[in-house]
Amino acid sequence: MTISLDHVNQNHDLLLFNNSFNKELNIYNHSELIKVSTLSNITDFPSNNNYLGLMFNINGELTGKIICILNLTKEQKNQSQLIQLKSIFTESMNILLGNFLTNLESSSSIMSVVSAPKLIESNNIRNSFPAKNSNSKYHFVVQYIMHSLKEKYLCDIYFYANPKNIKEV
Amino acid sequence: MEEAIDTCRILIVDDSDFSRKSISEMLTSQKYKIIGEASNGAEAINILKESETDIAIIDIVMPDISGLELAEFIKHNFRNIQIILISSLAQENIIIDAIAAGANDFIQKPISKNTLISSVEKIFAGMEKKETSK
Repeated sequence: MTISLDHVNQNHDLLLFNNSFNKELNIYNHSELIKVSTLSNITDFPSNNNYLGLMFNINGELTGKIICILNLTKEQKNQSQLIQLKSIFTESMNILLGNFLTNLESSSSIMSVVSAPKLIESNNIRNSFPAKNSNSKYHFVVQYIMHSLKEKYLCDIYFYANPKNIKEV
Repeated sequence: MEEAIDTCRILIVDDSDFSRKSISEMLTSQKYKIIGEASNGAEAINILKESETDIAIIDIVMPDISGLELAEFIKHNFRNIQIILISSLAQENIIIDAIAAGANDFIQKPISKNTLISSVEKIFAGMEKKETSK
């Protein structure tokens, strides 16, 4: 399946992106990611502090950012558990996104790389999101469940990107 | 004739401590000795200056000094150390860059234990052959 970024068919591209996300990934037998949704429109954002947040930049033939949000369960976590969870979540998202971009390149020749992740402070998560979805030609959210540390966590991956030659307004 | 190396001395370099610990767990064996773990290039170089190392397992995407830059540095300054580069990204350009940086092998994350051990064994066997043929 090939794609020309100059003549974009939005649905075709989104199907390509969707198929490039792994359905499942086992991360060193300590974490398992399972895809639980197809790509969908971004309609809301995390609104309180009960989340972990990561930001990755994408560079290459796609430029933009990916924000990964983990919904902390209601169970209180001590500092040590939180540190461990952050580390597992960070590496799991890093591996998920690296595999996504690799699969994308394999099926479409779109070459992009992802940066090292940056942790978003929990009280700054909402501000990390762009003011308008429409500033990015491609914007969607996809959901995974992360099984780790004997619990399940819902993870939302928000994707905002433009083809290289289109500047964000 | 020098004695053959019988324990493979390994350095793990990755900004993720979860990744470092997981890789270290996979290499728990009398055949391997983890001589250190580093979260960045500067730490790695300090460890290499102090400890004899056979193989460095290095993540490519790290803040500050990238794994590719670190690999090139090691190849120039610690010529006997063999390198396995790892990354979640595995596009053709990445693999080409890894080889150009001097990597003996490249493994895409998530890393399976079998793949990692197979790579370490192959590289270490090559090193032992060189030692015994001297």
